[in-house]
Amino acid sequence: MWKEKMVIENKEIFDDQEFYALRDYIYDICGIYFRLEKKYLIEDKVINRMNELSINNVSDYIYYLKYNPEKEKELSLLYDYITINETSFFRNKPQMQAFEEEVLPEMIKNIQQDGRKSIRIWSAGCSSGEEPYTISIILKDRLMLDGSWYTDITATDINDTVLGKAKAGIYTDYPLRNTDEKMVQRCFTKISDKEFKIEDRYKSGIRFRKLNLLDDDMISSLPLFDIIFCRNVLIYFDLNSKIRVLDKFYEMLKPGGYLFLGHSESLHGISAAFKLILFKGALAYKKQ
Amino acid sequence: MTGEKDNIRKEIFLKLSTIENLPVMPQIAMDIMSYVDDEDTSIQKIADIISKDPALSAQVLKVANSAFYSLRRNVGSLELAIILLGLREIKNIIFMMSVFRLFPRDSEFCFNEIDYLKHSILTGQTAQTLCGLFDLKFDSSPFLLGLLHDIGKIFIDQNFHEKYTIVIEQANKNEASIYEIEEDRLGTNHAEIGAKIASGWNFPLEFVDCIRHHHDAQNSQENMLLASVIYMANLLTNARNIGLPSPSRGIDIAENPVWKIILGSDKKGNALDIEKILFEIDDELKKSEEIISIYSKKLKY
Repeated sequence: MWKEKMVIENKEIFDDQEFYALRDYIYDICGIYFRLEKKYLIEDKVINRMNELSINNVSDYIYYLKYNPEKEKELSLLYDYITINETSFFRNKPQMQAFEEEVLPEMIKNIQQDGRKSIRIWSAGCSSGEEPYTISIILKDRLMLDGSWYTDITATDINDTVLGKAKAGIYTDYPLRNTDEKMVQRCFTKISDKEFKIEDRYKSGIRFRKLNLLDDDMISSLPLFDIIFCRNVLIYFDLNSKIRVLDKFYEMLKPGGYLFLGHSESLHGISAAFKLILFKGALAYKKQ
Repeated sequence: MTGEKDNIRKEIFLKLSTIENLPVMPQIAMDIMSYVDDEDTSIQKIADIISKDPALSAQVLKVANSAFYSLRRNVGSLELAIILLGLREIKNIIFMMSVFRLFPRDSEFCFNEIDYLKHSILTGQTAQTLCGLFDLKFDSSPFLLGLLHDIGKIFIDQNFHEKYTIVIEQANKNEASIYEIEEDRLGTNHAEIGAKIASGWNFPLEFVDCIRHHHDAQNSQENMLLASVIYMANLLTNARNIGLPSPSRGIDIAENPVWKIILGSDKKGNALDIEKILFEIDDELKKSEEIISIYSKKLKY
């Protein structure tokens, strides 16, 4: 019996109990729910990582995530696994549908009642630009706002490299995998065998800026927004920073404005100021 | 138009009044229902009841061995399945299998029966989750109520197929809910009809009343709390986009009067993590698909 214990075998799969333990821990510390659906996508990665660390059960790994001096680095790594494949055009279809079919029409009606004709959206943590361009496509092509409307998309990220990519607007077919072919043809120019460039008309109206979400002064210099997208970004902040960012988002939203987070991301325990609104297949947070 | 609606309503209720026209609830589900979490019930007794139905016994074992429960061992007998899964889960499996049988294989439905089944299972699971979170106990199984809350839709479809096809087609346009369209076109709705069916099955009054009021829980006199649980479970499941077509309407859950009824039953409710409940529904969906595929490989989803 003791001999068996001596052998450290490489781990191959999680059983459900282990998976739930890790999921609950991740949810508690960062508010992102590691869905069962993703288990199969990232199981190998997490297990490889555990094997690298010579850890062969999840409770030891959670202990490592809690107490090891390298825990911050380890958590970032884990978050990258969980949010992997999350960057693409028209990512999270039900959410984009709620945005396009419910939130925007409601908002436009309210804005018109106020006698305004402008709509401002903030893509906070825009990464390589898929999100702001998706928003731009929806505003320009689907919403059919007439020329008298002013639309502004502020797209910010802390990382210069991804911002450079965003500004260039050139993509492979991979981030376009959720976009229907007709739309790709309409919105992009094929510039090589595997590269597509976003049409200039979708670039106009987007302002790309470098911005740290903890830089309160810089954020306060931005205009107020009708809608903020901040998907899978907050997970990289600790609780206090998260609370600070959320307070700032609340302040930067106009009354009645909406905040969209990632598909399985929650504000529970971070901000009670926002109202949780349920759409079909999507959540949103609304400023009173 | 009103006259026409009245006529349709009369026709529907005439059909409902004849027991032969009701969907058939398998006897075994009726038998097992009376063993309400009775700890004195012996495992052997339950196993005996189930084994009267060999097809069902086989399905119970298949489910017990599926990834849905991930028991990590081969479950070869009903007795072992009951020990490992517990009486409540065994009953839930039997209820699910019984509801699957309400769908005759050779008949056509004007709605997607897989979406219907997923929605029913998830509503049952969510009702059970809510009862657990708020520590609520009822005589009727919230899981079975969730499974059967839309039973009226099956009856309308099977007996008034053409009329219901028009209802569903209109619902597909996402402008109004099935319930609203039914009221408008048939002068009745699937909740009212479902309650008649449950009553025809001699289900307890509590059960009948909750089906009746799963769209207007606040109007239930005697069973408002359980009806509210079913209403909310239905709403949350729809909010995950699981079910037949329904219009997407931003729901401010904190202001929902039925949600307040449930919260009123418990002080800790305000700290409740609704987001997590919703995310868990997504996970349960994966599992329900496995169960449905065990019932029939033929069904597509």
